[in-house]
Amino acid sequence: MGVRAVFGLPVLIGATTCGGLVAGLIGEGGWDMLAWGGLALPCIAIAPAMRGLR
Amino acid sequence: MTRRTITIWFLVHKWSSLVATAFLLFLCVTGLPLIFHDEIEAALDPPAPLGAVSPAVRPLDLDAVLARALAADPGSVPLYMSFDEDRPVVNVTTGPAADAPESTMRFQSLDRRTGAVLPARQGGVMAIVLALHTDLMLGFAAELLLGAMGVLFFVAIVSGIVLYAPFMARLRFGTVRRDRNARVRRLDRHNLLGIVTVVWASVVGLTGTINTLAVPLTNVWKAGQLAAVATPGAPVAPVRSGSVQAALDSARRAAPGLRPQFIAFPGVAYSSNRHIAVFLQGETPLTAKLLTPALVNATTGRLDTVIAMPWYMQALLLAQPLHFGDYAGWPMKILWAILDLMTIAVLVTGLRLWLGRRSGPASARVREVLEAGEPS
Repeated sequence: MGVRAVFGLPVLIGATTCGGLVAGLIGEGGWDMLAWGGLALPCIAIAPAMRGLR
Repeated sequence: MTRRTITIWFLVHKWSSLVATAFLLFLCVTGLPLIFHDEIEAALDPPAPLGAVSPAVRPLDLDAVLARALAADPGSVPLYMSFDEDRPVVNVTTGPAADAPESTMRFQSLDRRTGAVLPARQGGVMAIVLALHTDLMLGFAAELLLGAMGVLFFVAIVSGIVLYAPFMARLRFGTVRRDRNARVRRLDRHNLLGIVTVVWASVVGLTGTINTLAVPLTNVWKAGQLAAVATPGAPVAPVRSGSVQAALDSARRAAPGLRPQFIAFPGVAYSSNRHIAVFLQGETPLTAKLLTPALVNATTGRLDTVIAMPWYMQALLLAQPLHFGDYAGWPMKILWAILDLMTIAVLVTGLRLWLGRRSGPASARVREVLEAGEPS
């Protein structure tokens, strides 16, 4: 796989995280929800891989 | 990427991580309860309840509040005054002199409606955790050392991103090869957890480093922007009776729409020797952090200037919420804690990979990177 394919999803997750960090600073209500969504994505992305963690 | 380039990045990743791991683990572990410090403090040491007062009672002006605080700490001078956001409570910090060390300062909370001094809170376990997290309770040199560890953490993250590309060249995102040996599984989890937390970990690491520079940055601000409106070598101006409420009122007139966060009296770190500095904040989470100081001459009562803080002070102020994650409600705190735990997992898996390494030169590790942990 090329670099673009390797980093496609990580860049998306990173951009979403970044958006979440900023959204929480901008305002409340809907902005807060955007922040939670942005930070929830990296947590959700690893869930399948954590099965059987040792 | 050539094998030599990968070797260099591998060594950068290895040594930046190894030097910083113990400190980072300590910071992640002590940082975890700090995310919930409001809730923990409220549970362990709840604030004193305020007495019932008729809604018709007008709050005292700030000079009356300050007089009561000074009466409770005879011989002291006022240093700072701050305001609770959700209760009519004014917090007054006093000390033997404007440049008094923190250990000699006294912190009092007063009910602004009655002027009653509220029972002192103990600080307790969270104050100790914060002190450990800030400087290991070893002072400014240790704080700077932790700041340097934040820089090394960022170097480890960047080098980890570089190594992620060749390692994942033959694997799909999120792959954890459960049918392989423990080392391969650990490598896969280390890479996955590391890459999804890259942005969060970078932000928290770099803002932590910025926070360790609070004292020198404040000194630079004081020597630059504040000195420009101060009188060099002037003695510390006394705080006249009636001047504090007037200073706040004139500051609010000059900056409508902003509310006071705290007041710094003449001679303290956040003011000049002759000004009462009223620090104003906005209403949104962002503008609440970006403070605007209004400098009121303590002798004449005249508003000298309202100044926008320079970029490095704005960066310092913004670094605090972005480091602690306390700006978007409790769901944000829970997500912050999960990301902190994920970062601990990255550190632990990285350490275990190093401890369980096979003997051999760095080239063997580089081959492991190029062949996704399965050298042929």
